[in-house]
Amino acid sequence: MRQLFIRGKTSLNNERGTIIVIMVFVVMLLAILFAGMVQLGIFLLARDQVQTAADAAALAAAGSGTHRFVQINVVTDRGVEKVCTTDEDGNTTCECVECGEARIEGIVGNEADLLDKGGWRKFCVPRCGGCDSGDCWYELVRRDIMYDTHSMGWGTSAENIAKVEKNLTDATRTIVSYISYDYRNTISRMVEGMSLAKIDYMLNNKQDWMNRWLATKGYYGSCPHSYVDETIGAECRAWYATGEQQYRKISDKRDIARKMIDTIEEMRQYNSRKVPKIDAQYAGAAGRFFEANLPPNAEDAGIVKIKAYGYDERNSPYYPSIVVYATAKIKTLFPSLFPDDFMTTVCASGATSFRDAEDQKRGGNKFYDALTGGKWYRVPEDACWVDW
Amino acid sequence: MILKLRSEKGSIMVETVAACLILIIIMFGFFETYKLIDTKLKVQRIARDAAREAAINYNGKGLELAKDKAKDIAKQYIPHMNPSITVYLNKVNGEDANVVCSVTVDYRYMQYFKKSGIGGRSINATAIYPWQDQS
Repeated sequence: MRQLFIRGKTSLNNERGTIIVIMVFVVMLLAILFAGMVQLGIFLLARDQVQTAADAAALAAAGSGTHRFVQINVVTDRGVEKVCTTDEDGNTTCECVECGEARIEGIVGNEADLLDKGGWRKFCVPRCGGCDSGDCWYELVRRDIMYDTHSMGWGTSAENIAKVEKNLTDATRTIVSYISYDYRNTISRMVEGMSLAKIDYMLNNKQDWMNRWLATKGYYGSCPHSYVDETIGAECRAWYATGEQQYRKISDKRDIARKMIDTIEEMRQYNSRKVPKIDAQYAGAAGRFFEANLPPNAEDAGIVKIKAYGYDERNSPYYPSIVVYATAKIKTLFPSLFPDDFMTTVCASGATSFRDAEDQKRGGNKFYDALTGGKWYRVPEDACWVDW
Repeated sequence: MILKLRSEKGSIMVETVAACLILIIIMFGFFETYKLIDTKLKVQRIARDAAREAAINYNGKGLELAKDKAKDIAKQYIPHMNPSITVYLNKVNGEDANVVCSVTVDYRYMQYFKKSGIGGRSINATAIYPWQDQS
């Protein structure tokens, strides 16, 4: 049989020590594999820790300093005024007059102030009473989430307040004319076209009342001395006396216009208040929670990017959420082989939860208190890596 | 007396057995290291998921839910390890500020030989999540 030789004429038929050689190779190979496995383990562990830190940061960002922004309508059912008149025989007849409904739409603001603290009541208008004292409530239109208050509006438009003022002025004219049921057409002519301020002045100033009262019959000035014709003078004086009688009747209603004016004024002031400009706090919150969960197995771990899908992007499928991107260098066991540490980047998305307005309206859209019930609205899609 | 091993009969067998023993020890090392890393990863995930559960249910029974969640995941991930789970609220300036979930496992080496293992170490992970507030 032909023998095998390698250079140097060593016979390979002698297998002494071959197991040792093989073992050295196998053990070296296994050692490399083992080191690789440990390295992979460290990498996975560090990556998981960075993921935890990023996740906590994203949730903190999504939940810190958020502002609930609502739009509501405030409706006042002004009730039914009881108007009574007494005839010469002393019989009193009462009638109920509808005061109508005042509706202020499109009121916007921070839910904490507007609903939780009852700020919406400032948009209720005075009610009548007597037959039915009426009611005031608010309707929820929508709710949004803001991470800062820079886009937050407050109150309603000046036109809406003006519309309510006109509505209230018309209602006041009706009520004033019904103070005296028998002379309602006369008083109605007196207050026609008058503003609330003029009605208030008239109700609290007898001379003004009498002048307007006499003017409805074409008399001007003071009757007793201004008419030569005694018949006309007598008619005027009689009309004057009736006017005085009616003026006395309104004694308990003299503040009706003043109440309206004060309410409108208060509403205007509340409506014109400024929303404090509060900056977003998500970056600070994210940083603090990332630090709190800082991965021990990673070096130079930090947040590299934060993307907020806030109110300005409310039509985005990712609204309202905050995405945090973080990186970390992971220590290597083979610095000579991999002089640069391994780098890992993770992404975490935190959704901001708030109550679903549509769910809250399901049982009826008439509210008096803060809205704390209803389903949570938490539907944004996962925005990780979308804007990376 | 000098013992001369003139005959090499059986030496291959001895070497093979020795090599196999070394390989088996190394394989056990591999497996144990893998298990250790895997347990560390799982403990980390239990802490994270439990803290997250508390954070997203902040206004209800968040802490109880977090503990239940941690126990459930632990049953799936590390069924025989009976981890110690603590979930509590941290206060800052008198107000609830964050929820801390801490999971500790007493890891025993080589438990397939002996139930109490051959030595061991404690593996723990902590996750600190926010306790949300809204205005």
